[in-house]
This record gives sequence, structure tokens and C-alpha cells, in this order.
Amino acid sequence: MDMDIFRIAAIGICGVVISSMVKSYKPEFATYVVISTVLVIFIMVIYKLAAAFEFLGEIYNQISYGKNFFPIILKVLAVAYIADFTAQICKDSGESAIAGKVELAGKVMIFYLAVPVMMAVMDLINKMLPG
Amino acid sequence: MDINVDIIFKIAAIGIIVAVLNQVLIRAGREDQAMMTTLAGIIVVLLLIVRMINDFFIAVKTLFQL
Repeated sequence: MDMDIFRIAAIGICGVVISSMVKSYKPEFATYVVISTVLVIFIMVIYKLAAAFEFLGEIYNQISYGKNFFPIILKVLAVAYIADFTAQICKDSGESAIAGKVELAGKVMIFYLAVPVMMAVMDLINKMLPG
Repeated sequence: MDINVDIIFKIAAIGIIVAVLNQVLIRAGREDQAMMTTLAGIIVVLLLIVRMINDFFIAVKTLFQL
């Protein structure tokens, strides 16, 4: 399925139009329409994303550090994307407090995931320093 | 993971039908049934959305090899 950017733009615009139309009748349904539009667009993009990750995986397997750091990068990407996805939907429906908390949780989790990488860098530096 | 766009229109259609039914029932003097239909509509759409979000999370899990 050729990822046709025009098709995705059309879906996005018709999602906006439908959401504003439904909002006039039933405000709570607008959020549902927005969530479904976002999911449909993401599902259309996911295959291309998978191909890109296979390609990156091959490159990282050649580097010595690649074996244990590439999964961490993937995890951080997933956490960042999900946190951003949820936070934006919350902001969209007017709940900026919840959005802030979700973003905070995302940041904390990413920092937690990044700690081993920092440890590895510290070890590397210690090894290099003389004495 | 079906990439069908019609789910957006389905949700919009449910929303509008529930709104119209709500108005009709309120005019007919049956407020409680109007509230029932609104609840039914919201629950149906919620099930649809939950199933979609479930597929979405499974897709992200497989994609990012979590």
C-alpha cells in the first residue's frame, strides 16, 4: 500500500470536519472521532515505520555497542510516542492537567530507561582515564 | 489491523443519531429513555474506541519489540 500522503491529509481534514460537526450535536463524541482519526492515520504509517526500524536494526548490529543499546532506543521511542499521543489527546479534550501528568510520567520513564546508557558511558570514561 | 477509514464515519453517525434520538425523546416527554439512548450510544462508541486502542497498543508493542 503506497503511503499516499494525500490520502492521509484527506483523512485528517475530514476527521477535523466531522469532529466539529459532531461537536455541535454531541460534544463528548468529538473526542471519540478525534481518537479514531489519529489511530487510523497511525495504523496507515506503521508499516513504513517497521521497515525503517529493520534497516536501523541491521546497522546497529554491526557496531559493537549496538547489541544492547538499540532496544533501549526503541523503548525510549515507544514511551515518548505513547506519552505524546495521550498528552495531546488530553489537551485536545481540554484536560491539560492530565496531559501534564502524562508527559511528566513519560519523561521520568525515559530517564529511567536512559540510566544504563549513562552508566556505560561513565565506565568507558573511567577506563580511558589514566590511573 | 484493518486500515478502514469508515470507522470515523461510523462513530460520527452514531453520535448524530444519538443526538437526534435524544431530542425526539425529550420532545415526546420521555426524558429517562432519552438519557438511556445517550448512554447506550456512548457505551457502543466506547467499546469501538477501546478495541481500536487495543489494536493500536498491540501494534506499537510488536513494532518496538517491547
